[in-house]
Amino acid sequence: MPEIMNLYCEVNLTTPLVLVLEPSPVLWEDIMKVSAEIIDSFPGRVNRVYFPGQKEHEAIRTSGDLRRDGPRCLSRGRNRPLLINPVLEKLNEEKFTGIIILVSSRVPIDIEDWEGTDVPERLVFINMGDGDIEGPYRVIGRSNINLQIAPLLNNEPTEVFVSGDGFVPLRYSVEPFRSSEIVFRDGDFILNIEPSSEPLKIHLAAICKDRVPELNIRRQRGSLTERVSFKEERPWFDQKWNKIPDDLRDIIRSATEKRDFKCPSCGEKHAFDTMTCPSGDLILRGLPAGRCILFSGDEYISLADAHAYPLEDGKIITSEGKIYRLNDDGGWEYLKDVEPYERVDDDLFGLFYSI
Amino acid sequence: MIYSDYSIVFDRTGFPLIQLDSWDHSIGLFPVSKYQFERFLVDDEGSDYTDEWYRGVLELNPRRSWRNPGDRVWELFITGLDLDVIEDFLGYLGPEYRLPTLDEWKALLELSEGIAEVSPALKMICNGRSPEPVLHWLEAGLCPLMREGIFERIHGIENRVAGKPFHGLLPNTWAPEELKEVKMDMVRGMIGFRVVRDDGGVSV
Repeated sequence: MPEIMNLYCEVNLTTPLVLVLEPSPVLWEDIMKVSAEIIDSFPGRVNRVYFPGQKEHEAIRTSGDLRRDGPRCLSRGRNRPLLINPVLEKLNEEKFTGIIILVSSRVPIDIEDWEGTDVPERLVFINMGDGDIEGPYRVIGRSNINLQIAPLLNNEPTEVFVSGDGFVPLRYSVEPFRSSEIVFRDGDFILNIEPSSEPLKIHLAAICKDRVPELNIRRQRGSLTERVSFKEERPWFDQKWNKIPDDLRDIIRSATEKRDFKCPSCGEKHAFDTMTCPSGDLILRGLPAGRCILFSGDEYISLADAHAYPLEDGKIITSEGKIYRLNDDGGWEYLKDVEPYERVDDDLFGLFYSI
Repeated sequence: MIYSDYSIVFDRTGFPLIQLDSWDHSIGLFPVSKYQFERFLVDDEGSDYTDEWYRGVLELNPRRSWRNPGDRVWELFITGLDLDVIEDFLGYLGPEYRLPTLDEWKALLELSEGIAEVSPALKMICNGRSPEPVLHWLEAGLCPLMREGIFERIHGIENRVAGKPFHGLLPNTWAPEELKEVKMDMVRGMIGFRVVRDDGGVSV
């Protein structure tokens, strides 16, 4: 049986912001004021401050940090050519998908290198100078910044999904509750989660091939996909086996042996795969329908709350009674729908029926 | 390429230089680009150069996005620098870097057609070692740009330059390898350079 991994991830899906500040000695007081206003207005969202020409960011997260460290940063960049490539290349390398706020009086010399990429649509230019600035990015003036900027700083998630090599979720939970679905496409199982910018916690019990699956986030603006890794955690659910009700035990034993059984409703013999007596009564009253049930000895489990159950030889059976096998290339191959009371493993029989 | 015994080495900015087994030096596959020169400007070693100074240099030959050279390829390369600035840049690359001699420049010119033909192979060699513009320009066949590029400075020679600019002002009979006397002040914006490294680098 493949190893079941217990995984966990927690993400804040609000749009992260970075500030890129012109180290202008003349305008520094104004640039500090505007930057502090942005940092204070969007608490926790500005996680880095860059200066043109420097690919390493400054650990400035609050307006207090900015007041304390700003003068030192300013002296390093004073009068240097306004080149933004090192900053944007670093953000690109990190697959940063948030909004880049450039507070400057001049257009960086090399910004046109990014035309035709997704950077301009994620760049907000706060023009600290008197001249007009034009470009493929959004430009706002220095007055009433908070009013102007707020609508520009969102880059809402449009797709949130879990995927990975050989990934199949057996069971999962999403907090706070969001609608979700598992789709099977081109050999891959994907767990789609309703996009929202609220924080998100996911617990997963899953099978995967060599690498743990990742949470993928795609946003309104930009073509990059943000990827968040899952961490391993202790097993967080019990696969609960239930006793088969006494009045069904003989029926199920006969059915798994493909023998006719005596109907408790009409007293006649029925074929092993009969689910409804000709009198209209359900044979398996008391067992959940509409989801796959697995029988072993005198016990059963229903996959009502699970997506799949692992079988031997790299196979799984899903709650819809479909059997898949993991291939060497990490893709899943659909094999068949389970037959009534079909042996799917040693001493394990599957049944999917709906009323 | 007709010469199979060549190696590619990289300077500290990741730009490639070619080295034949019979040479005791390697020479830049491209003239020095603005993108490459800007690596120097953002380094501590380039800290004497101001925004105002660099914007002034770019007035001679405006900057162009490396992603979209269009038909103004010369705008990708740095031109108009004084020799002392070039010396600073070479010093940033390392003590073994200098301008090419005329013989070294001509030797590369002789290989230029063969180099252009093996651009796909060069791109594979540079992949993972060079910044994106190098791969982009190799893909576009913009290498080594000696018969149609910019004027280039030659080691130890002032007031005369090699190469042939793109600008379309010059007749087809213009021979790039023949040094031309120019009025430096008038064609300053067309004069760039490529680098040579004396042996001793790591090759692949």
